[in-house]
Amino acid sequence: MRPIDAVRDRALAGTEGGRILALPHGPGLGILSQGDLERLVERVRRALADRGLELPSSGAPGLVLAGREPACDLPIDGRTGWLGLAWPAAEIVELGTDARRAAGIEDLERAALLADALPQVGVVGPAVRALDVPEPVRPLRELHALLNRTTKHVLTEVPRDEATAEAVVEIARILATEEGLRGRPPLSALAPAEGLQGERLEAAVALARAGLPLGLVVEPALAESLAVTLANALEQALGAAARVLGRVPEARLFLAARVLRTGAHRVPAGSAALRLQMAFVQVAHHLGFAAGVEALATGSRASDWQAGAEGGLGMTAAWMTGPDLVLGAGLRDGGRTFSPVGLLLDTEAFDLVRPIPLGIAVDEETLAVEVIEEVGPGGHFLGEPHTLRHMRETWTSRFMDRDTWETWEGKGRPEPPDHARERAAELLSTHEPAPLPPDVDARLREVIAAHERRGD
Amino acid sequence: MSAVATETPRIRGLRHPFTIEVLTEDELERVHRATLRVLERVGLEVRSERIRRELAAAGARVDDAAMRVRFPPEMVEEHLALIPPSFVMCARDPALDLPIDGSAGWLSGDGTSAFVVDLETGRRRPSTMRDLVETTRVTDAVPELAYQWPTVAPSDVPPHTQAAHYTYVMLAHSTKHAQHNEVYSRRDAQVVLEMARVVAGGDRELRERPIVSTYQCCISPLVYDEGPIEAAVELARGGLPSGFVAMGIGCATAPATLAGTLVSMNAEMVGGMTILEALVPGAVTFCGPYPTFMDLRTGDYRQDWGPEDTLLKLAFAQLAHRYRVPINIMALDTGAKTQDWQAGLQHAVSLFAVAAAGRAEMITGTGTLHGAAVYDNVNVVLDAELFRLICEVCEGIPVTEETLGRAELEEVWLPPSFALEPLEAWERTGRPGARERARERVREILATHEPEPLPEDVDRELRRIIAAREAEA
Repeated sequence: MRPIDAVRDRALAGTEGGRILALPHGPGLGILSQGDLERLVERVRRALADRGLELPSSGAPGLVLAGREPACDLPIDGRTGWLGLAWPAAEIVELGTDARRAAGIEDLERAALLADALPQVGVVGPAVRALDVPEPVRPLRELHALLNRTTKHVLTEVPRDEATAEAVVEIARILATEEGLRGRPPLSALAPAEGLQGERLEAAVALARAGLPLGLVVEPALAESLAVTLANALEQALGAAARVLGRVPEARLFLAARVLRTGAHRVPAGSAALRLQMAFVQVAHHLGFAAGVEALATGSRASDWQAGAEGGLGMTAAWMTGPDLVLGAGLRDGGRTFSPVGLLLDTEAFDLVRPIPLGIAVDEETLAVEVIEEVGPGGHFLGEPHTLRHMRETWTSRFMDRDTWETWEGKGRPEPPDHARERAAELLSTHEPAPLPPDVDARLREVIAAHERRGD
Repeated sequence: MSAVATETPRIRGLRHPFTIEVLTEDELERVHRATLRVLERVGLEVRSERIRRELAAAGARVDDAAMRVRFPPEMVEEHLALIPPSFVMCARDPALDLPIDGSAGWLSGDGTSAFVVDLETGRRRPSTMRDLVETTRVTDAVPELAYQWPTVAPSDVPPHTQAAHYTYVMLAHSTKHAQHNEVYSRRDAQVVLEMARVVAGGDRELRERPIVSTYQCCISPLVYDEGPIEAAVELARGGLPSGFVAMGIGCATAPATLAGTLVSMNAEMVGGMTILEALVPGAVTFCGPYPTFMDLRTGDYRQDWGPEDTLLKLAFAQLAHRYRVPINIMALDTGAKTQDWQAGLQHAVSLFAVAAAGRAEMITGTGTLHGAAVYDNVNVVLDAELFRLICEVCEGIPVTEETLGRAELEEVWLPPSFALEPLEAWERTGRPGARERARERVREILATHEPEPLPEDVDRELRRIIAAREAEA
């Protein structure tokens, strides 16, 4: 196993100026043995060949997911992972009451605003579905809501039809800088890999031709064995990639996996989902594709022990295996609800593991032999200048409890969600994302209005 | 061959297919050389005249007035090489013997908390003998816990009898191996050995099948108190595995830097093992690094166990591997005061990292909250599920003709305390979380699990020894 030291580089901690924090890639842990990996790829190659498709083997070299401001540009370079919101939930957990209800466009805007405020979030996708917006006009209105609430890279969905895709391309071109859409794509899009054909495929091709990155998403469905489940998922993802690359050889693609599905249910709980995600990243990287995983999904309906454990497992797997995108922040109940409190807590889980791949600094100063000698047996280090120099290097949580037991009881036994709830409310009332320039906003609205008129 | 059994096993272990390293070979060597420098130049304060005298005869440089023992590097290297790289933690039930040879990791409970969370009231209160018995029974029942620790410190027995009471409870209320971490004097060690011999069937039988192992803790930085170091030697001479634990607190009793903490704590453990091997050559021993940091704002342990703790676990695992010495790693740290999001996150991050470290034969320990100050059986049930889940992850995804050609649908195990019920049922039952589900499981275990009792005559003899120890006051 490659030592973590091989990637130790403080520059991997995030984007310039610290606007966005990164998860440096760790040792590249492979859950599949080399032999198993090769057997699996061979099986997928044969399955694709039976459908007249070639196994694709290259993805998006040198890809940058650009923000509206350059400080939010995210290099997809195999050295760092970025946290993101990706898949919309149908329901939202109310910040004040913890009640569940159907989500709307305002919820989407508020989630994007929170994501903009949190330096741990790099990619801002739709946290919820805007169910109060009529379906035909929803995709572009949701996209506009995201673009208007964040200067970070926006992740949208590949529309179901080519006309809407053309409108998305138009929007992207309005936002493009002089580097063009291929050089600094301000948005990218996810498409379900399963059944990517017909109108949806044409829409994906339109986006890819324009230079927008596409993520091909699978939801592994439990099959006869985990090996078969994995093979099926890869066949879907790589089959979709082959179809897009067959039409647009220069397409910038990445592969993404959601959590395991059994029947109609999505099941983040259990080891199978975790193993599949770890293996998915390994195979995607082996074939040269960037990879995204739904690492923070939890089956829990609250931000409780289970949510913490599943988040911890997902984030640990992430720093070990090195996905390029860590997606699903804030989702609860297997992706059915989005929780603003959950989003903040998930950023803390991300924070907790971020320094691990940076390893341990070993030099004369840090080895501290002289200090140990000076303090001697039975002494203490509290008054040492060495301690003063280094005491701020340790990680500090934002939402975990650090009180004495008595103080904690006196405060009514608060838990991390209580601290996160306060912070979410504060951010929502104080954070003001840089708005779209008025002329840009007007042009975007014009494109959307024209698209809606055509649909009438 | 997998160490993870599939058929409702009495004990479930963690296979070690991965090895994640955080130090390069060169860095590892630098930490080792710095450790030797500390042991040579600073040495250890050893507060036992008897042990200092024996160490002087064995080649250490002893300053008796300062109680200081310094170790030439070659003495350390020579004695580290004597440590057996593997041993077996034997159990009353031989089917529950645990090979300590790097093939698997075994989970234990934590200890020794002065408080428990009362199962019925949910409130913290001082621990009692009844709590010690109940927590031991739960450990015996749960397959993911492979061996016993003294879980709580009973406030209702005289302190000088605690070592004997722990021994009795672990051996009488469980057939799993007992690891004793509360043997504070040579006299305590003699009592523990006497009790262990009674259960094992005699001195020779105990040496052949040590059903008890022990460890002693250094007072950081770099001090071994008289009682513990004498106990360590006495126990090793009696044939019991005798390990050394360091519990440095970064910024307070260890340097503020990770590398400095590694060196300081490594010197404490390596120094302890060198003492043991110098006085009892070939004795079975192991190391146990339990590092933490001080929260400089409160003066308490840092409750938000962070990435530094994970890095130190991985680095210590590498050091133990370099020395070919078995290691007991503390996982499942949490500063949380209940089974909330924080506890779940911290436990998952630390346990998964320890699993990936690829070396931890002994993994300590579930059960405690608030920096090990408070014990709660609910933790045990939840962490056991987490441990099983991670064991499964370590099995990977075998891709073979058989797995690719299987005809029946794969069955997946889901942690029973996780949310699996339909939304309506969840709402109707008051939105229970993992904590509430696990609490029910604890009640069920306590109502149904009866560990195999000791033979009556053995039990009687143990009680006699405890009574005699009580009379020594």
